[in-house]
Amino acid sequence: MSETPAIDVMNVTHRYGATVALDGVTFSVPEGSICGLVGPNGAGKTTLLSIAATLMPPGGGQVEVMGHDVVVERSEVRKAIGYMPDFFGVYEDMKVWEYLDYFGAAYRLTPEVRRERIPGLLELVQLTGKHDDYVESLSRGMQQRLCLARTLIHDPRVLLLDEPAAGLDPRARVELRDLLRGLGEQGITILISSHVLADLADICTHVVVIEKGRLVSAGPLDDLIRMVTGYTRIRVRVTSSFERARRIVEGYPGVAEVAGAADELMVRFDGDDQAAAALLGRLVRGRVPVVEFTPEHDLEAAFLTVTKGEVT
Amino acid sequence: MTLLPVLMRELRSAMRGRRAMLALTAYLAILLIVALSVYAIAVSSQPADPSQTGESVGQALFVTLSILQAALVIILAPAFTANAISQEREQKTFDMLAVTLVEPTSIVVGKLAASLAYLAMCLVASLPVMSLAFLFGGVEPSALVEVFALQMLFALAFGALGLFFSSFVRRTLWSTVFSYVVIFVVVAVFPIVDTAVNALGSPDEFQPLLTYLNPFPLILSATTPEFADAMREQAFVPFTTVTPIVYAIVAVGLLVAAVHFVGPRKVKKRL
Repeated sequence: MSETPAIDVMNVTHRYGATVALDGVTFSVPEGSICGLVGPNGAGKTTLLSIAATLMPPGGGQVEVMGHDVVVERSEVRKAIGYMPDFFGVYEDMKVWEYLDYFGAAYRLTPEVRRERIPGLLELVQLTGKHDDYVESLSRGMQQRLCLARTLIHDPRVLLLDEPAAGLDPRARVELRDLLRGLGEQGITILISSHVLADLADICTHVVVIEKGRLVSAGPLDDLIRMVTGYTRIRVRVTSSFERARRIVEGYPGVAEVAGAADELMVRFDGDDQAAAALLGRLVRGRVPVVEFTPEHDLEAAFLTVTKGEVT
Repeated sequence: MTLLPVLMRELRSAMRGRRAMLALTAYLAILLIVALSVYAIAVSSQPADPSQTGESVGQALFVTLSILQAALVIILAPAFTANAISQEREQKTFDMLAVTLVEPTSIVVGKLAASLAYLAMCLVASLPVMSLAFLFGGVEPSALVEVFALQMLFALAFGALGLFFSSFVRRTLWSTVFSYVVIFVVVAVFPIVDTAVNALGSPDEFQPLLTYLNPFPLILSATTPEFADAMREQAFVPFTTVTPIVYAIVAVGLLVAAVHFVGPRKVKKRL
C-alpha cells in the first residue's frame, strides 16, 4: 500500500440551502487502501461520495482523485473511478451482457475490449451463467453484483461505493465482502460507506468517521481503535501447547489481559502492529503451533465512542 | 461527442418487444382509416367539372393526411422525450450514466435522436398511405418533401420541448404535463388570443402573429397553394420562412438548456 493519496479531500464544505451537509472536511485515502466511510444517517457520506464521483461540485474546498481535481479535470477523474450509488436502478429491458456493454461503450472502450472484458467481469461477480438473462430477472443481490461489475468495466483505480451491502441477505453480504477484499488485494483503492460496521471492520485498512458534516476521525483502522479503546484485541488459536502459549503471552510486555480456553486465547494488547508481530514471532520461536493470530477491530465500539449520534 | 451508446440503448429499448411494432401498426391503421374516409367523402361530393374529380380527391387526401400526421407528430414527440431524463432519475440510473465519459450533450442529443429516429420511421412507413394521393394527381412531389421536412422540424421542436422539461423537473408526470400545456397554448390558445385581439382592434391592420407560430398554418401552406397565396398577400412577415426558423432556434435553445440541467450542477428540490 502506498502512502500517496488516491483521494484527497481538502477543507470541503457543502450546503443544501440552509442545511450544512459538509463542514470543512479534510482527509486523504492512501492508494491501495480499503477505507470505510462511517457516520450516522445524514452525516454527509453520500454528499461526499457524490462530490468525489464528480456528480456535483463542492460548495467550497477541493477534492482530488488520483491527483486530478474533480471539478477541473472531471474526465480524468471519471476514467479513474468506479462509482456505485446508494440507491441504484438497472435498465430492466436489457440483457446482462448488454448492460455491461452499454457502460463499456459509455467509457469509450472499443467493442473488442468490451467483448474481452465482459466474461471476466461476470466470472468475478459470479454471474457467468446469467450472460443472456434480462437484468430484471436477477435477484437483488445479483443486481448488486452486476452493478459492481459495471463499476469495474473500465478498469478503474478507485472505487467509490455508497452502501453497497444495503438490502443484501447475509450470504450476499459475505460474497460482496470477499469480492471487495479481492479487489483490494489487486491494488484498487476503495472508499466504501456502510452501516454494517462489522463488515467494514473485516475488510477495511483505513476508516473515516464523519458526523454532522464534520470530520471526527480519519486514519488507519488500527490507530483509530487503539486511540479510542486504548488497546487491540488479538485472537490467537493454536493446535496444541496451549499452556505454553498462555505463559508466553502473559509474560509479554504490553499484554494487559489474557482470556480463553481449549485452543483459543483472546489477548488484550496495548501495542502497535510491530509489537504484535514481535509477539507472534515470540510464540513461533517458543514452538507454539499457531494457526491463527488475528487482531480484531471493534469498530462498533470505536464508532459509538467517537460519535455523538448527531445528524444535520 | 460519444453519441452512440445512448442512441443505441434507446433504439434497442424502443424496438424491443412487440410494443414498437404495435404502435407503428396502430399509427398506420389510423392513417389508413382516415384516408379511406376522406376518399369516400371526396368521391361522394364530386366537383362540377368531372375531369377534376381525381385531383380533388388527391388534394383532399394529401391535406388531411398531412395535417393528421403533423398532429400525431406533435402529440407523440413529447411523449417519447418527456420521460427521457426524468425517468432515468426516477429509476436511479442517471447517476451511473452521469459518471461515465458520456457528456451531457451526448445524453440529450442521443435521446432526442432516438425519438426522432422512431418518428422518422413512422413517417417513412406512412409513405405508401401518403402516396395514395399521387394516384389521383393534383399533388406535387415537392409538396410531399416540404411536408416531411416540416413534420421532422415539429418532431425536433416538440421533442426538444419534452426533453427540456424532462431535464428541468424531476418527475415524469410533471414533465409530461408541462410539455402538453405548452403545446396546448401554441396550438389552441394563441389563435384564440389573436381572434380576441382582432375583434377588439382594427381588422385592416391586424396581423395574427401568434397564430403564425401555430404549426398547422404552415402545413396548410405547404399542402394548399391557394392558402399559401392568400397568406402571402395578407401577411406582413413571410411566416412560411420565419416560423420554421423560429422553431429551429427555439429547439436549439431548449436543447442547450436541457444540456445545462443534465450537467453536474444538480438542484435537489425540483418537482
